[in-house]
Amino acid sequence: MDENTRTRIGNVLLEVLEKQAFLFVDPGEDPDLASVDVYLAASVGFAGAAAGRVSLAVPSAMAAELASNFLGCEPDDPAAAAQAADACKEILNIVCGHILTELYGPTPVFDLGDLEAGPLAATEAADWSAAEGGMAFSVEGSPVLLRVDIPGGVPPGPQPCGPQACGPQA
Amino acid sequence: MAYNILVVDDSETMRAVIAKSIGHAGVPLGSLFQAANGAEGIEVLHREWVDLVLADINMPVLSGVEMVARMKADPALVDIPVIIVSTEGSATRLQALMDQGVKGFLRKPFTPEELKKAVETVLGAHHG
Repeated sequence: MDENTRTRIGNVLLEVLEKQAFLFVDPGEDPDLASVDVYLAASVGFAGAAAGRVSLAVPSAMAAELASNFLGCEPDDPAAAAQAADACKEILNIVCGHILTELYGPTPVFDLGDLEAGPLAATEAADWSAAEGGMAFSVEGSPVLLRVDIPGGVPPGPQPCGPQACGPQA
Repeated sequence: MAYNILVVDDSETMRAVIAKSIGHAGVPLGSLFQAANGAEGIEVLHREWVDLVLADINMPVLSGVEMVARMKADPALVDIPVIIVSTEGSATRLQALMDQGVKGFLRKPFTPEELKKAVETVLGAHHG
């Protein structure tokens, strides 16, 4: 996966986290993967114009924060803990839908599989981060991992709009 | 006039978000019903008076697409307007749903204002 594609996919995650969960990325900060013992990981497969899987892992405490932001309650509210996995799955559901549109455009039809969630050990999280489609972000001081596995590869997309490419013409 | 609204989504968290957004948007609400999949949604529609359905697409048991198809084949349910609330980004699938009779579409994530606009557009057209 090329750097441009990784940037586009990462931007989708960050936009969804901001808009749906009110969580913001720490620009320029490297995520400290070792600071978390166990992550809550959600995963969903997709099929259609291409087939693959998108997965998201967040620290357990952040999963409860996701749920509390969804529900409008405090992170230590029992309702937030009870809905942590569901909130993580729903964020992934949204992220997956937007990644598919970002990569393949608005025409193809994709079917999503069942959303799954479960614990992910820190050692496995390191493997995720090092994988071909693995990405790690620092979000409000906590590591967040995203993994996009598309065996057939991703189509080339538009290049980032930098000043030389898209600036005013002389 | 207050509206009875049915929210169909397999995520309990998302149902809570939609319910909260309806409240924040100031949509006049009579009763709010919830269902975890299309089959449960159809049951509610046969049991309760519902003015508007907000339905997800990807759900176990019976998807939103299948639910809409059953509603359109049922004379008792055919006129109830449906807004799809989903992560779906395929214009091809959305057009197919609109052709089936779906009245509106709201892509997740959405703001309360976007939800209000979609509800007002659909109910205004339906009852106007």
